[in-house]
Amino acid sequence: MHIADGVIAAPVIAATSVAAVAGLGLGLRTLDSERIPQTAVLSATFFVASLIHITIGPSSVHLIANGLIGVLLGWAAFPAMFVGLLLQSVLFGFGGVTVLGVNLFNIAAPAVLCHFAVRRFIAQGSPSTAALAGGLAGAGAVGLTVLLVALSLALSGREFLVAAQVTVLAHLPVMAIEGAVTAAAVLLIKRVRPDMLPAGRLVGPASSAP
Amino acid sequence: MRAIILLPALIALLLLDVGTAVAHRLNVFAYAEGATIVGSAYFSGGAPAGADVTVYDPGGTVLGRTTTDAEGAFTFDATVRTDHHITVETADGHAATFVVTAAELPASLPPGADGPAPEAAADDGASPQTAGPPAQVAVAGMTIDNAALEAMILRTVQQQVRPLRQQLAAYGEEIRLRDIIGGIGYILGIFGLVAYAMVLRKRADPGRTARDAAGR
Repeated sequence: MHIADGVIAAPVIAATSVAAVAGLGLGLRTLDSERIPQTAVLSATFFVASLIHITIGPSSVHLIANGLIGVLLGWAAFPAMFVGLLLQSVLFGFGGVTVLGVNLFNIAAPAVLCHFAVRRFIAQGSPSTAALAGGLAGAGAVGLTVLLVALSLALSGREFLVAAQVTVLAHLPVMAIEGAVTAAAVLLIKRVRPDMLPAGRLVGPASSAP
Repeated sequence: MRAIILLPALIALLLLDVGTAVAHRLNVFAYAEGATIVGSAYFSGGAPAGADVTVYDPGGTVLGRTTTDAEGAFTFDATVRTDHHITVETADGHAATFVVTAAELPASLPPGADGPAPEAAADDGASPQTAGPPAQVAVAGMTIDNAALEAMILRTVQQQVRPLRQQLAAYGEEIRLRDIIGGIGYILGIFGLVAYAMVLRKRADPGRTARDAAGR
């Protein structure tokens, strides 16, 4: 999932880094002091999620948790994941510092996309509708990230179909697990603490809309 | 706020699972067996089959290419005595590099263009016994050529040291609990600073945040 240093072509790095910086800026603008604790905690969740391994056949993949973080944070997923990715590359050797923009864009952009795709259903739907929407976002964000990784590799001269096949197949179980985890998390939060969801903020002054 | 407190508890739970986690990154280990470089690439829980292996010299010139087999193993025949930088890249964007130094390769190979090989080769010729030793050693009636003896000792020592080096490489790649805890500490600290900056801004201009909120 984390693309390593020296694999991606310079134009792809430049383009995704610009997009990632734009996302970071938007994320920081929507971040108000009340949401900082939640963002910090989800950043830490993202940081450790990559240590949970799933071994299938010849490949080994790990959780990403970008769907869950996207659903809860919206644009603030960018700063949360930026901090997580930076520390993962420095402390664990996942990815690399030069490809931070590529990895941030590939992981955070699907998270934000899924956030806006499902927030209406989570905000206004019944708990079961919200859970279903959360599950779709959890699985969908991983799927989109995998496709973006394959696309980044293809634009750097790799065979798109080979890369996509390798990564998509390996991540099917991750999509299943993250879909289930996100659905369960949304269901729990919807019942226990609905104002933590983007729904609660939609009406408040501190809306997470850009 | 209660639900927010639940999340660190969840993280702590996750942490129990990963006490001895191994990095999810590609790792490469390689060693010289005579003039052949034998290596393997591996993840914590699997081996990348069919990954591209590219061998560079210290100057960045490609010495050769190969691919890994189903177990992630590969071999490469060295033709020059120089540092071999072995880079393995998988189809899904993982990459790792390992260096087999010139000193590991037999002195009989021609030295590389820009490696430290020339001195190393000269060293090997001169250092064991500089004062012109007898070219042969008699052992229980057999005569063994000095060079053959040296090669034998070198091979044996390399064999004995290999598991140790492999273990050492694995040790360096392991993620320790203190890295994880430290990382979480950094995250909380960074967001704490962000919160502090916001407080300072609010203090400097109390009207601004209200206007911001109204403007959104």
